[in-house]
Amino acid sequence: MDERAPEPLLRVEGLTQSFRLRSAGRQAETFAAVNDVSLAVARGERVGIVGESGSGKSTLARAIVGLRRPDCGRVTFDGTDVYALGRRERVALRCRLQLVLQDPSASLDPRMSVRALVREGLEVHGRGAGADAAVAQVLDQVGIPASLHERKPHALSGGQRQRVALARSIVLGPDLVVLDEPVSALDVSVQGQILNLLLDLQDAHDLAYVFVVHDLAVARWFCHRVLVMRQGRIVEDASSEQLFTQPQHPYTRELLAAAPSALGEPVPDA
Amino acid sequence: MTAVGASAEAVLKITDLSVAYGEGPEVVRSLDLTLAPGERLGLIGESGAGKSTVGLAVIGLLRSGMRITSGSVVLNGRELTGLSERDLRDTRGNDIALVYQDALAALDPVKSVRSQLDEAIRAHGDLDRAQREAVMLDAMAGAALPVEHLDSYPHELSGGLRQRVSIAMALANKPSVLIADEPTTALDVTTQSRVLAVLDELVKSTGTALILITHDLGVVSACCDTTAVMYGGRIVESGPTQEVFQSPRHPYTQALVRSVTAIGRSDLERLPVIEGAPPAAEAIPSGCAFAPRCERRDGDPLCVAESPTLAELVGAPHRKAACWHVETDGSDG
Amino acid sequence: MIAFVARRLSLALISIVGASVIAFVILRVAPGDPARLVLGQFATPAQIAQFRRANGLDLNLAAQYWRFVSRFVTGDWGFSYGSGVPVRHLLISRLPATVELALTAFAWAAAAAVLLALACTYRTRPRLERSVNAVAFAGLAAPPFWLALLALLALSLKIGIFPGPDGQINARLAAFPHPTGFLLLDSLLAGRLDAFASVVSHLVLPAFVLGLGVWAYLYRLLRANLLEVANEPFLMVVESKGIGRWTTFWRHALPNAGLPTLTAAGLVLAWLLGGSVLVEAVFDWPGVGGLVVDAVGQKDYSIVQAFIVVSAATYVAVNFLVDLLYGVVDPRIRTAVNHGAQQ
Repeated sequence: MDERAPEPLLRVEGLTQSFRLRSAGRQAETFAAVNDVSLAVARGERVGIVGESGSGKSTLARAIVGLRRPDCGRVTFDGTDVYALGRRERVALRCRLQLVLQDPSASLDPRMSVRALVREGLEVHGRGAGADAAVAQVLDQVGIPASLHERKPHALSGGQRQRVALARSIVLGPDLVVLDEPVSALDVSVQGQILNLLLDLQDAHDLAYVFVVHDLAVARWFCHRVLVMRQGRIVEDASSEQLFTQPQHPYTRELLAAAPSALGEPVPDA
Repeated sequence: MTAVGASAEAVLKITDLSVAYGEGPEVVRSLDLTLAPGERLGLIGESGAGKSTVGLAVIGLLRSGMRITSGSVVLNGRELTGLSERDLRDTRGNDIALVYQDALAALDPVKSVRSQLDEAIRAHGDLDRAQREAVMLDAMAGAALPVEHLDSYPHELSGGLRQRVSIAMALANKPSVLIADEPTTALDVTTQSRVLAVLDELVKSTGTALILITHDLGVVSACCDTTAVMYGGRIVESGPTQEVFQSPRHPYTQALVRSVTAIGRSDLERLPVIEGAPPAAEAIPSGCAFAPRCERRDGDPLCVAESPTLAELVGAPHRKAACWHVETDGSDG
Repeated sequence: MIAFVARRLSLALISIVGASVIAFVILRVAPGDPARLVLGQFATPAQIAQFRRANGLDLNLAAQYWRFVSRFVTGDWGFSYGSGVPVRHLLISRLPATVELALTAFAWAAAAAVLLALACTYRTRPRLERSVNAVAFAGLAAPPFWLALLALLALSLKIGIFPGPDGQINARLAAFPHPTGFLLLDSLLAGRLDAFASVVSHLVLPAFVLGLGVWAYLYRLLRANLLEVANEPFLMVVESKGIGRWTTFWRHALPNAGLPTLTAAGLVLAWLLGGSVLVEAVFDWPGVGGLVVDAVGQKDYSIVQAFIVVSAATYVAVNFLVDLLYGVVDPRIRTAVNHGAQQ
């Protein structure tokens, strides 16, 4: 299957993001959280970014969606340079390029009802008219029954909250959704539900995903292609099958070896 | 449930333990558990299953108004429920110890490693400074920790190192039982395997029995001889780890194993899921807690009416499952 | 470390200078002429002019300030117009009484705050908590001088356990040398236990009254911080080692919760050291409070200026101490230049 359309939906080139460490009185050191990262995502593709804590994957996720200007590099979305846009255009672009975060109890305003949460984006982008229908439809799609529409986040389970977070993003009609560890905070039996839902949503709305995750097995199952990130750099970029059967970089092999074997099954050898 | 090569006396015997929030809903219901000396038991469950509560109940550190409403906990032949606070303190850190999930939160940020290790050792037995120093060095070595870290503070150490300090601290007095509550959940995969290896080694060399509480089946598979699966405050299946994972008998265990192994399969369009979510403690249904999500139920009223007892399987007395419809042959997944 | 200290000291100096400048200017700008106030309404213009010349009041502001500063650093703190006594003498003779009172009040208030806050948080004790909170509330609300009067009325007049408002010590006792100015110390040094007992009994009421508000404030602050820390998992882990709950709180919860209270305590102590006018007035305490207030009224610049510089220096010194203590209590502040985790 040819996964690449003529021009990828998202192209990241040479992205670098550094932070200054404040040391009392000494010269501030800079630390590159993301170091010269390049990647491309085609329509309908699912690209995984795997890394441990401190690898820079979350910083990368935010840079991709236009939330944080990188020190250098370029992010091109559907032919447009994201950071060359003016403020207003970049805000408008947000509809098409969405970010879903890991912990839904932290990313949902605890004082807003489910309905209000999903509606808010539409109102901000001036699409308040007819919003109610859109909200109802998307909540139905993510599996939140009408009886829960007036509830506040604390009255929902973890899985339900994450569904609401997804609905909030999907209702804006994005082309690409960046997901930062969307299932890591959920119970095992609920993770599968959310992953299935993500696939359903992708089919229904022709989405592309950038899936940031620390669990290799999930990345392999879910993604067409996986990038392995370490200390700000991409050390390997391959199709998921290839990555797991023929890992090239020693760090990838280390990750594969360290993952507790799924219940006694042998881990693919390098 | 004893390990292969059973010893006569169980080091920990929990009988009919129930824990509740004050006068409110029960979080742990009539739980039975036996641990042989040196046995490594994995206690698996999702949120709300009550697994952490079991650990805290055993060591007597229940919080937030939770209390043991019934049952007994016998450690090394001694009944722990109903013991005075002073007697309980004697057992803590000495006969039974705790390793907590997030080591940054589990270590006092303003005290050095040495000070915290020393405190653990000083709390029990009358050793002089030289002797304590020796025990400390021994504990550090057991956890593969470089000695210079003794004078470090928790925030100066990485997650893996901190967790190993926690482990060293817990095992310094060579307790009979160690309760490790999600010890590697907050760690990276590469660090996780190192910490688990250290835990494994140390537990074996000190002969400590281990209760490893986690939601991660992979960790249990790597580390534990026996497994008990909890759901809705009860144990729903138990037995030798490999057997439980390879041929689970309880529908919940089967579904769990299925979803974990399914991730390893590239041919599936969608993951097999259990509809719904684990019940919160306040909302555990009467009868079998898993009934609302169970595929095997077939509308049987018994499942809702009565909670199944944890019974030995026919032909496999070292395995137990709590299901009215337990199958007599392999799994269906 | 040296850089840290040097920087703090220079900042301190700037603060003190700044405070003195502001005070200086305000005093001069406010209405009222010290010459007239001191010499009275029948003074002749010639006398007034002479007074002004003698006290440098005819110079311009900047020159006056320079005159003040250059003399201050050599130990000449000027003369009090009103009493004609060198200011340094005045202050030195009266500061010890204030300091003694302040330190005593602070000592009991801080100790009680720590103990009660710990007692109310290490175990849930709703009844104890409610009563202590009620007292704290009253302590914060009640003005010290009113409490002082009440205390005198009840405990001195009616019941007679404590002496009345007659200063630091029973004046009828035989005199003894005051090398330090702190009567508690001096009476012990002189071996005079009767004097010591008298000083103590005279200290009780004013120290209590002054300290009550301080205690209430510190208690509430510390209790709030302890409650936050009480749920931290590391306390449970300490208990799992077999350490008792009180010891756990004392050794582990307190240092972790104590930093904000430490800062507040520093500020409160510095404030106390500045003297409480009303309480000193009620008890006829020979402290600095009344002296300064009178001086302001009489436009006795020298006293006020010197006092402000001393007061600013006290605040700065106490805060500096608090900063150092911070580093002792919390090693994370000490290693502020840490380069992240080691592996």
